[in-house]
Amino acid sequence: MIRFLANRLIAAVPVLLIVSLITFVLIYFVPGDVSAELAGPGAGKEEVARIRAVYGLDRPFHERLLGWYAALLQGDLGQSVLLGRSVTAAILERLPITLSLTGLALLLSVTIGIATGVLAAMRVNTWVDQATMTVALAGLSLPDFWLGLVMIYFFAVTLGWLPTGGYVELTVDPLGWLRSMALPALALALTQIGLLARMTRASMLDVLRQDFIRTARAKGLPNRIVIGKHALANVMIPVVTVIGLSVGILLGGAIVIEQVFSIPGVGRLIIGAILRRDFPVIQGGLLLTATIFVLVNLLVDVLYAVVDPRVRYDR
Amino acid sequence: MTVETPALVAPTPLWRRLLNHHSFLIGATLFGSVVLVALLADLISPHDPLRNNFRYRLGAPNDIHWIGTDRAGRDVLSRIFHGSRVSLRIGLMVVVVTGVFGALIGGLAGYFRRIDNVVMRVMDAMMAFPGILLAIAIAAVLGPSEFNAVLALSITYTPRTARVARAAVLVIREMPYVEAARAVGAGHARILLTHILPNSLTPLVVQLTYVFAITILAEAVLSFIGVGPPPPLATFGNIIADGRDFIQEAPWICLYPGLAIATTVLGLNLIGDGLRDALDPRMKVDLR
Repeated sequence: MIRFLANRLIAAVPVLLIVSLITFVLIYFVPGDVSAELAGPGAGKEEVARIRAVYGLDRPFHERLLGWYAALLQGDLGQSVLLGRSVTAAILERLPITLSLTGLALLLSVTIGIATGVLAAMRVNTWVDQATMTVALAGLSLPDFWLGLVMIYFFAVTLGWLPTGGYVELTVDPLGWLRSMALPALALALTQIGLLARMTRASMLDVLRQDFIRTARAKGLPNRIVIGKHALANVMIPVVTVIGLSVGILLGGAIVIEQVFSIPGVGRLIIGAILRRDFPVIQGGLLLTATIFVLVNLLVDVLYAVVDPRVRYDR
Repeated sequence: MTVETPALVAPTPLWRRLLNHHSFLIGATLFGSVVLVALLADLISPHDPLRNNFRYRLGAPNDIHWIGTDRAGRDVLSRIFHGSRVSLRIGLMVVVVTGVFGALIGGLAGYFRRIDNVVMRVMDAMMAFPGILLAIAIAAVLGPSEFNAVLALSITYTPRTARVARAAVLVIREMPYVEAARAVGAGHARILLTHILPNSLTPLVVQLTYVFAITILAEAVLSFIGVGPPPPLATFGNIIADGRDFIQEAPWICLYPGLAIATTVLGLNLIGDGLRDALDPRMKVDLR
């Protein structure tokens, strides 16, 4: 198990290296940088050049690349040009908000998605199956940011049950936090609920055909044990992989949903930076989300080995 | 053709299997109607999608404007009709670019094993970014335009397609007919083009259908954020972004383009499911 873990960890290193390189190169080749915006519309060439020098934007590629990695190793993502403060601090301050939104959405998708998938598989080819799978496919086909807007219209504007947006600290007012997070998390989760429900159903149908299920039934085990213990353990193997992918999609979706619901998380920070060409923040945000995603998938690999011990011998 | 184990029953032709597949038929109808609307947008639009009418701003649906007007008094229905044209055009171009480069990169990585490791690690790294965020960042860096949106989305979705192509090639390159071709002296180019490419098309086509669906969703996000094709051009995302601030007094501006997106994407997803079932019932596809 330890060797398996070490192998997975080592395999993640080159991916992270390339991720950081892509992040750097993407911003390096940007036509036009932030100095012109900082200098203002009336500034002359000398003024822009002076600002470029201050931020080190005039140095050659290899020097800037080395500088980027040297700073990165110290956890320094550079200075935000427009906020006038460290990118690392600005991101870390907002990270808990984005992570709690993603986490809540993940919780919703996994519980509702798997339950729906199992239900559909157990009632295969009945109206229950067809209805849930139609809803799942529809959920998969809806744009999440639009769903957020529709939910705002229904639950906040028309019915007045929930706030139209904004964010309440969990530590300040737990109920208010839940109220502010309910709609964005649900809008975000719906796509993944559809995806997971379809995946769970397919996997469940596959497993239910296997011999060991027939054996378990022949032994006279109650249905609850056959499904809950024998079948579900095997269903989870492919589903865990999909959950890993879901985290990446939810993280990306959260960035957009934060715009819709005015939630002051990393997404608002990054999108704000994108619209105002504050490149260090974009760089830092990209790198951070990708790193989280790589780490989550590392965790999924480990979970995978726990769920299915055969995996460890495969590689 | 290859020599296969003799089947007891003659296989049903592909079009037959597709016509018997209910979700494929529903999907083809939904997507087909969107394509038709996009093609005929000039003929069937009741108004000019760009003409302002400030006397009828945020107008509720009525006899003249069937689903209302936006903040400049532009007819929402006409904007959706013309927007479907832009959104489908972007989707189609992304599918073509992604298909060509995905097949090329994945095919070469699967066939020439020496470059496989390096190429696929780069693809892994690109897939480590949440897709939509990478697309937003690239589009923002390049600047808002239709061409740049296509470029950003193609860069984002090529690695996923390359992975599917590679997986197919890994199986096909071990097939007896490839060995036979090599034995009679066929070169790499000939083997790749006449044996491996045609036989790996099946998973590619299914994957590209899903890429088309995701692209429609992603393009809407790009426009909504403001890094897609710039307004006043109508795209699904632009119309929603336009109506966002008026969700209370004029919900129709946001509501209907979302339904248009859902129709398009649902249609494509159903077509993808149908193709997957008809072409190979055991095939697994990497969704998103």
